Order: sequence, then C-alpha cells, then structure tokens
Amino acid sequence: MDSMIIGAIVRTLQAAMQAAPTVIVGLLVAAIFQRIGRDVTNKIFGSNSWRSLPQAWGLGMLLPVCSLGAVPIMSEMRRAGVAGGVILAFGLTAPLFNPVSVLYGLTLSDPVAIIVFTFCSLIIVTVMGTAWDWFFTKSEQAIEPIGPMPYGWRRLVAVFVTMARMSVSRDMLFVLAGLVGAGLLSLFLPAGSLQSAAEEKDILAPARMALIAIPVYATPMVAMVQLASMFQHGNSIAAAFTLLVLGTGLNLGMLWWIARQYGVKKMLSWVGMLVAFVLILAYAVGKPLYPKGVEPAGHTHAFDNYCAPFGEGVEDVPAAALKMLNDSLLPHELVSLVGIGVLVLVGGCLTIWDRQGRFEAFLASAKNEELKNDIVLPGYVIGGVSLCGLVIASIAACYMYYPSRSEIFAEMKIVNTELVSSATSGDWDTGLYWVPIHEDWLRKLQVSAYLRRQPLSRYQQMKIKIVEEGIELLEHALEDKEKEEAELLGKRLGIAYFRMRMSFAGAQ
Amino acid sequence: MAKTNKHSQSNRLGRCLCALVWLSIALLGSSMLGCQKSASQEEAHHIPAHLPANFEQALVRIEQLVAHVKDGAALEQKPTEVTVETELRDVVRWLPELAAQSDLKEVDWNVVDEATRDLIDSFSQAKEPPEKWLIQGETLANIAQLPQQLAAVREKYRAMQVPDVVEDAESENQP
Repeated sequence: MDSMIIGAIVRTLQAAMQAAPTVIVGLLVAAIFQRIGRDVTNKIFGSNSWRSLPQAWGLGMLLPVCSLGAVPIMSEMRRAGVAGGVILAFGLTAPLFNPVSVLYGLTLSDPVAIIVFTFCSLIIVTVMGTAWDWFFTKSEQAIEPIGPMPYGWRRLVAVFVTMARMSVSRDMLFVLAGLVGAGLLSLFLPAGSLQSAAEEKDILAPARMALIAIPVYATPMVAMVQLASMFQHGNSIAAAFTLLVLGTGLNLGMLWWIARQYGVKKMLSWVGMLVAFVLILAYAVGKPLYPKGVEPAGHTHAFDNYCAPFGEGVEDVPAAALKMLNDSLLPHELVSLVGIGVLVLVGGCLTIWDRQGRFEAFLASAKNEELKNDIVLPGYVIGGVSLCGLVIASIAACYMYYPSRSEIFAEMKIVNTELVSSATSGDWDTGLYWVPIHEDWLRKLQVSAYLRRQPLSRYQQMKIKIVEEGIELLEHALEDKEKEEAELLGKRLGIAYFRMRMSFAGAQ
Repeated sequence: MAKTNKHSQSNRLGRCLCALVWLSIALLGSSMLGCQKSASQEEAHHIPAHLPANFEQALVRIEQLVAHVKDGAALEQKPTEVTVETELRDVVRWLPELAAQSDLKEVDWNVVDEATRDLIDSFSQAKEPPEKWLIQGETLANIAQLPQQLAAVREKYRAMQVPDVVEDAESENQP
C-alpha cells in the first residue's frame, strides 16, 4: 500500500518536473495577453470570425506549451472575450505539437502518419470548436479592459508582476489538479500493466487508450517519443492517435477548468463528443497508416510511465523513489522549477501586501517618457516580429535539441561506456538509469541526420536498429537482475555500438 | 421560435450522444480495470526458437529448408514453433540484420540487402500465411538462388570469423 501511495507521489512530482518549463511559457504568454489587452488578444484569435479556429490551431502548433501550460492562456482568452469554441480549439491543439516534437515524429514515426495526424487534429479542432459554439452559443465573457501601461521597463516589470500574480491564482489549482490526476492514475495501473494495452490486433486498444489517456499528462515531446516507439514496435496506430489527442491534449485539470468556466454538463457533453469523434477518426486512419514490414514486438514500454513505478520486490521504496526523482530531473526542468518558485514567492507577497494592485497602478501612473534616439514601435510591428521570432526560435531550438553528429557521438560514447560497464559489473540501477539516455541519443542521431539533410544509408539504419534492439534486451536483463545475461548482452551492446560507430566513420 | 426548437433538438441530440459515450466509457473502464495484470506478469522479449545464431547459419538453414520444400529432403532439425514455410520466410527476412551483426563492410552488406529487399517487400504485402504462397510462383525460386547470389559475401563473412579459443580448447579436452 505504501509503495502505491509513494508511487503516486513520484508520478505527480515527475509530471510537475516535466510541466515546469511549459507552465512558465504558459504564464508568460498569458501575462502578455493580459497586458496587450482584450481587443488585441481577440484580434490575434481572429475576432470570433471564420478565421478564429484555424488561427487558434496555427498558434497552438507554434507555442511550446503543454496541456497544463495552456490553462493560464485559456483563462486570459476567456477574459478577453474569445469564443468558447476557439478557446477549446487552442487548448486542445497547443499541447499536441510543437516544432521540435513534429520534427521528431517526422523522422522516427512514419512522416505520412504524422502529417495525417496533424490534419486530423485540424479537423478535430474545427469540428469540436464549431460544435461548441453551435450547441452553447453566447459562451464568451466580456470583462473590463485593463488600463494601458507605459512602454519601456515598466511594461516589462508589469508582465513579470502579472506572471507572479497568475502563479498563485486559481489557474494554478487547475494545473495542480492535472498533476495530481496523473499521479492518481498510477494507483489504478500496476507497474508494467499497459505493456500489451496497444496491440495492433486488439480491436479495443484505441477505446482502452481513450479511457487511460484523459487523466494522463504528457508533454508534446513525451507523446511524440511514445508515438515513435509505438510505430517501431508495430503497436496499434489508432491507439497511438487516441493517445496523442486525448493524452496530450487533455488532463483532469483542464476538464475542471472547462467545468468551472462553462458548467459540468457542457464539459461532459463536449468531452463525450470529443472522445467519440477522436475514436471514429482513430479507427478510420489506424489500418491504412499501419507501417509495412514492421514485426509486432507484442508489447511496448511506451506507457510504463503512466503505471505505478514500483512493482513487487522493491525493498526500500522511499530510497528508490528519491533516486527515481533525482534521475528523472533534467537541468532545464530544475531551472524552470526554481523560476516557478520565484514567481510563487513574489506572487504570494503581492497577494498578502498588495491585493488591490497598487504596484501596477504605480507603474501605470507614470507618463510615457519623451524619447530622444528611440521610436515607439506600432503594435503590428511588435506582433510581426514576435511571430517571426517564434518561428526563428523554433528552428533554432530544433538545431539545439538535435545537435550535430559529432556532438551526438561524443555524448553517446560516454553513455554507451557507462551502460556497458554497469551491465557487466551488475550495477542494475545505474544501468537502468543510462538505458533511456542511450535510447534518446540514438533517436537524436536519426533526427539530426534528417534535419541536416545527411540521409542515413540503409546500412547505417540497420546498425542503429541493432544497437536499439541490444539496449532493449539489456534493459530486460537489468530489470530482472540476471547477472550472466546482462553481462553477455552488455558485451554484445558494446560490439554493436562499435560497429554502428564505424559505419559512420568517414561520413561526418 | 423555430430557431429555439431547432436549438433544443440539437441540445437533446448532443445530450443523448454524450450519455451514450460516457456509458460506453464506464463499461469499458470497468471491464479494463477488472482484468489488470500484476507487475510480475511483465512482458518479456520473445526470441523465436528458429532465429539463426548468425549469417552463416541462416544461409545453411535456407539451403536445408529449400531442399526440404523443393525435393522433400529430410530435415535434421524440424521447426518447433512454426511451419517450414514460415521459418523459411522469417530466416530470409532476418538475413540483412544477421549480416549487419558482423564486421561486413557496407558494400558487402548492400549485396545482401539488395538480394533480399524485393523478397522482404513481397512478404510484407502478403495477407495470407506463408504456407499458401511461399512455395508457389517465383518466390521459392528466388529464395533458392540466395545462397548462390551471396556466395562471395559468405566467403568474406567466414574469413572474418575468429575461432572461439575457449570453446575450442574445451572441445579438445573432451574425450
């Protein structure tokens, strides 16, 4: 029982770590929307015209937010009077894709499938957005516009203060609910219980996935990694699509937000329709998109992270939990968590000592300074630069996330050595720590080649596949603590890696 | 008035649809949670019993299976998990991977890849089990040619193999 509760806490904290960077982005975008005002925000989303839904979809595709980071943005859209259908369309699309994850999917899944998935998401967003506005008219809310803020440093400080206030607002309760929902799910799913939940021949796989996916929290990147894994393991493509839309797009916090804003009945009706529509599309595209020539592995580890982290036989659960949390915390997540901590601290102080917003009033009271060698840029220039900047930043992020081949090999050499040595010396925990890191670098190697137009030969692809299979077999041996097998597989992996590395010699 | 009626009708329709979906979700949920597996039932990787140990053994097995299917030659080792036709298809399919698990150079591996690519593509397009199509038409003839087509690569592969010193020493010590 203890291990189940500790497991749920671990899953909640892991979700919080993954969500931290995109929640900060969500707070920043929401604060900017609040500061630029109701009318401009409305204009960005097409002023409730026929363009609103495709525009919401397009912006959602570009912004790097998850389903939790989308909540404060949705709240601001609501305050700005954007139609309910458009808000939900944005909320559903923004977490599905971002440029880095799409690039990953294009390389490691079937590109045709990812393009079809993208267009299916557009169809879902358009249909569900239209359905909402058709069934529940007059769902937009008008609020008093916030007064203008003088340009310059005051406006920047105002954005920071708004972010801080938002970080302790009710919106964060929805975010917390989403995180707790992800943890609670693990109470119902024993460790490894979803390994055969998405088999291609299982007709119920997409429906089962729909049920699990709603409380699931997955960042766009995590979802895309799972999707690629499902393609490589020959799992159900219909289940993969269901997981992408419902697992990445929704969470319990978002459902609570919709219920709070529009009522429980409307939320249940809309989610019911959404699930039905997603399943119809999933069953329709699943068969034609199934990858040819893939041997079904009969199981998948893609969903292990949604199940309880500790199975039977774990002796010191609290120590294992601490180690798991420590291992899964990435540097950018730590920085984001510290950032959120600072925002919460500032927001908490402002809530206690300045509930009326005197500080913002002070910032707004100053008149615009006279400029000597500077000009005030009109809104459309700032908007245009921001949009272009977002596109450029996305491209740069792709190149940073998928570095050059030489950099990848330099990292992978260390990772491979660590993994092989821990396997041969029977250091199970260290070995299992390096397994996902090794897999990650192998995937980056493939995406980097695609991004830099250095196509991999079939020979190189086969060598990579052999290393991937070697890692997977070794992972099982490490999990089962089989000393002789782990040693043998570790040595084989070392040889396979060396051969894979040699296949790239002279190709850099 | 007509507009209000239309709206209330669509609302009713929406509510019915929604109730139906949630009911199905609840039923599915109860059935799913009722058949959870425990952690001890974790899936293991199944390595087929007929997976050859290496490229050389794969080619030997192809020769044996082709001789069995074509001329009725007796098989020393009969497949246990699958039929002869399925084993033959699988071994051909595994050839490029087995060849890549060696120090063969890219140019030599490409010979294996090119010799098997069309065959493997045709395997993945087949909708029926191999017993129904493998011994018919050109497929079996193409498979039968593989050992000959890959003779040069096979020689290079053999030349690369280092004898297992420990194993050899042990076999020498045995009476």
